Amino acid sequence: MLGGSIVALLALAALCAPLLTPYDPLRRGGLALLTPRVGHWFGTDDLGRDTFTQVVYGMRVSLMIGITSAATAVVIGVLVGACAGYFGGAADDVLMRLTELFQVVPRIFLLILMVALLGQRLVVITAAIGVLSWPGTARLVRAEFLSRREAEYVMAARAIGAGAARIIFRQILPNSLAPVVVNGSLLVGGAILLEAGLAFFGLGDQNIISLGQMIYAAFPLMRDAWWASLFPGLFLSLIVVAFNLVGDGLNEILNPRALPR
Amino acid sequence: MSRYWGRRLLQAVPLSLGVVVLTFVLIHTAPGDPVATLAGEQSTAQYQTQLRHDLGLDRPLYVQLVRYVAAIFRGNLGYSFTFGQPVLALILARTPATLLLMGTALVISTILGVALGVETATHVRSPWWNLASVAAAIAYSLPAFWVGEILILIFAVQFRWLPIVGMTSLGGYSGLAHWLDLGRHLVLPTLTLVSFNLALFARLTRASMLEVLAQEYVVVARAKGLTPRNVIYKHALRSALLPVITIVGLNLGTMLAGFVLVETVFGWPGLGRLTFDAVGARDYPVISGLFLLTSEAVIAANLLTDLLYGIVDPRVRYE
Amino acid sequence: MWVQGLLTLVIASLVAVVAVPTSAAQSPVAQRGGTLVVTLDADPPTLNPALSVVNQTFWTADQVYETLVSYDAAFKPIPRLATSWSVSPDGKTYRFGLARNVKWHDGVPFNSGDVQYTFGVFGPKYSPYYKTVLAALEAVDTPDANTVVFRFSKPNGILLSLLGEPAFAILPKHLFEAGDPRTNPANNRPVGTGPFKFKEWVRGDHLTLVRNDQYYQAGLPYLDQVIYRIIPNAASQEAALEQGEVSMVLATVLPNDARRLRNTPGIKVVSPSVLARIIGLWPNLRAEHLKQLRVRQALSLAADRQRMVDEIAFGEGTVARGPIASTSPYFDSSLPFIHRNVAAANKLLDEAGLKRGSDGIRFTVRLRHVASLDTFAKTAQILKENYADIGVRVDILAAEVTTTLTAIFINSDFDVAVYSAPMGPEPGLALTQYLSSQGLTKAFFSNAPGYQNLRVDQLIAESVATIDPTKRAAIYREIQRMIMVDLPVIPLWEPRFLTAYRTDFENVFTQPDDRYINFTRTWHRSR
Repeated sequence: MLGGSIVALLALAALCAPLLTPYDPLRRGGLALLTPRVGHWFGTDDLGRDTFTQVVYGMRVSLMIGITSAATAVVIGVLVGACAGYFGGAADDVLMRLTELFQVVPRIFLLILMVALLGQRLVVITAAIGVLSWPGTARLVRAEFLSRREAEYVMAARAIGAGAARIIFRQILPNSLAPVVVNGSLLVGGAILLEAGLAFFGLGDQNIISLGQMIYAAFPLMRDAWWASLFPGLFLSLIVVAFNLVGDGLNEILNPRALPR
Repeated sequence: MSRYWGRRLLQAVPLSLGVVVLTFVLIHTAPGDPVATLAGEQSTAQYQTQLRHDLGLDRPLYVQLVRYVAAIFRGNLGYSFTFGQPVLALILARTPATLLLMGTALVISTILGVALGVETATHVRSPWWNLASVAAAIAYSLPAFWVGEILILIFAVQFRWLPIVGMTSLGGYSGLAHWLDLGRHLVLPTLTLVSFNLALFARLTRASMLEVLAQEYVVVARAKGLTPRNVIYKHALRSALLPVITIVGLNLGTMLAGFVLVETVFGWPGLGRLTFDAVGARDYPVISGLFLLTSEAVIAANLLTDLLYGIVDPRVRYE
Repeated sequence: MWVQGLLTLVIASLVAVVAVPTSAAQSPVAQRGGTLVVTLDADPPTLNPALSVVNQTFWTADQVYETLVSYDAAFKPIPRLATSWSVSPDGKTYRFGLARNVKWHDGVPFNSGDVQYTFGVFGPKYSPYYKTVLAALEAVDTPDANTVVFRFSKPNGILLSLLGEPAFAILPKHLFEAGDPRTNPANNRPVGTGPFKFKEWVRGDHLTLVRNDQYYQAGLPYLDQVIYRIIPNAASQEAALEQGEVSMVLATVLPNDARRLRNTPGIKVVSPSVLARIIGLWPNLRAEHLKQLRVRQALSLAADRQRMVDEIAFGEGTVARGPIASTSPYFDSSLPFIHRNVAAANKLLDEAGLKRGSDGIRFTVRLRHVASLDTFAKTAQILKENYADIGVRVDILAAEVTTTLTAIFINSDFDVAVYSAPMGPEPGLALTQYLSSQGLTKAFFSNAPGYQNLRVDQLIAESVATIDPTKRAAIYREIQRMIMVDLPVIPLWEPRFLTAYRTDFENVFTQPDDRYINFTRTWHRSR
């Protein structure tokens, strides 16, 4: 699986960042606006910071944001979807309306609002993205639960007196995980792009470097320093592509119906 | 059927109201006072207090909320002090630009995307499959604003073929020249948006087509001797499109994100840019208005897709 | 295509212009005609400069409306709607003689009643800037149709430096006196006395002004039209200038492009600025460590100002030595340059008793700045690096503008802030607002550091009452020296607001700052 290997490689690079480069991403490492060359493989930005270093550390940030927000979204989505699907009735109605609300509202608006108002901190950004990404997962999980609710093994569990929570988590959920996992890996890519979008509006966390912020900072320098937008954009795309490929691959494995006979 | 519709419409109302209250609460309970941008650097404390009073900002929150909701019902979305216009007029003035861009991009990406999706679904064993999959995955993953930047760099700056920014050039062309000029400005932003949406539609269509093609009634149709082409386009496609339409409807919100970013990069005078300017200036009336109207649009679009679903697929039954 | 045609035309005319030898002894005769196209990065919220606080309104409306005086490049007042003036020795009475045969664009004659309305009725109620400058104005008398007298309760030495502000444009009484001026349609279709009349405004696209053929100064203006083109992106504005689509990029040229534009034949880059802004680090004098003078001195010594100018402004800027920028006529040139000295800074902090912890950090400061302003963001990042060298950890809290300003001014919720306040045209006003006890109002744009120095208060009050500019300058110099001793603000560097325009236009920018820009005498050399 191409996607998986790319992800692994990039993650490894990101983790080993200090080993790959002697520079500090937030401190000047050379003269400003150097073109790519030996010693500064990707050139330097307008404050003299090494672009390669920034890309490597930036990947760390992007990966972290992507995975954490996706995880948050999945957790919330599973909880909401499971409750809605299992309990049905009024709970289902309320939860689904809530889901619809969050799904209908244009995410980017809310995101800009939340970050602009609550502060541009990494924690806030990650939480906001996670909180705004759960509707898809919730719907998926709910559909799964709706169809499995009346299955035999569930009725058997009920018959021996298992509580709702136990049934949800021990019985139905493990069987429903496949689409959730696929969805989750796609969410990672989406989350990373959202963060980049936020950074492009100048709403990133100023204390760290992220790939999105690099692209944003490079915008006015476009004509003088093409390397400053090319490399972060390239690697950002690479990460997202990798996760999407992983998602596709997982989909093929877990959903055999997707392939024709 | 009409009872279902009545119910759905009725449900849309509290949803919309929920949106309004949500925006209002978010904006007003967070720190930040719009007087900062309205009063100017050289204003006195008294002037600022007076301004706050004139804008009704010193009233308790629930009073402001009630006044706002009441005004909406009268069609008054407030007045924007940053832009010096009534909010509704402001939004309406910017809508055509966004619709033009959105419409063009959507039409192109839908047609191309569906076609691509159908092709890759029906020619699974060809090398096209993998290539198309990967290409779609890539196009889907590129950050739209970065693509936009690169396109500007190449086509507008380096080669000077196309204008860098904006919707029209100076000179006030009329008639055909005007449309040509508009067209030239449309090219790059549309290209940026299309690359993303195309991939999305292609993937969705392909996934859906594959499911449908595996269905029994398709096999039966083939067995009946209908040509493959007939089978694909007349029968399979129609059912395959339904989930696509639904998902697109639900994803309108995500697609809007792309528009906000692309409009900013290309300086397109539409609603996307208005959003960011308004948020930066804490222009509450404009932000609430934008939020409300776009949410309403998405709700309406969802209702429409449900309607389409009900009409097109005879198997669907609503109580 | 037509682009190449236009380009050829522009190049051809530029070549023709360059090829024709100009004699230095004679000044060329102004030609009538031509259209000046200026870029704007956003629509003005209103076209009434008396109600607006943003540059876009000033740049456009200043061609339609007029103030009583204008300024030459040296910031000396020159006649506009007021052709003569005199001040009483006690500084409380100003008498102005007004221009004759002036008509509003709708044909109604202009007279002293309009001035009286603007300053006596409209200003106190609706103008944001009014009370800051004219709180002591008691009355505006009109002995006859062409004379107006301002009477103050306290001596006012700086009135003439402020009357030229677009915010004090004279408004037509006959259009504004009825109803609420803030919703008056004339705010979007202005009627003034100026050299250009409003023609049309297509929001988001362009704003067109045409020559006022009934202008009271005979023969002026030379230009047929002034068109403002809304182009939100600076790089696009510059590209439009280079391709000949626009004639002038006003105050928004990116510093990294300035050198390239300077070297482009046919384009000139200027940046006059009497508003004298500096970008400074404003400490909260109530905060734990910043209340110590030694700490502020250390922070000042550790900042790498030259790097800020080189890397953020690409050299288009100057290191700051005081609270008022060197472009102001009142700048004290005897102030010493502050050179980065990490060793001395470390020593000061040691002396202050702030030892380094086991991680090398002495203490942490929270630094706020408005996130959307790149220059502030990069300044903050350089400071973060600089202060790491002296054991001070910087936590950057960037947020959007209203949140940041509320935190800084209203709640005093900050340790240091990267901020820029305009210190001109008359420093006395800004100093009162930002650095005097009078400014301790907890309103926006007030004394955020919490600085109180009675002697400085006295000097500031004296400065605004001093009529003689030379004496006033001396007082300002003393104030600047005292501020650099106390350090209620740590000056960092002076940005430039760059304007670029095509040289086939003459007399384009003769004012001392883009705020006053005025195309009355601009003409286009077409051959």
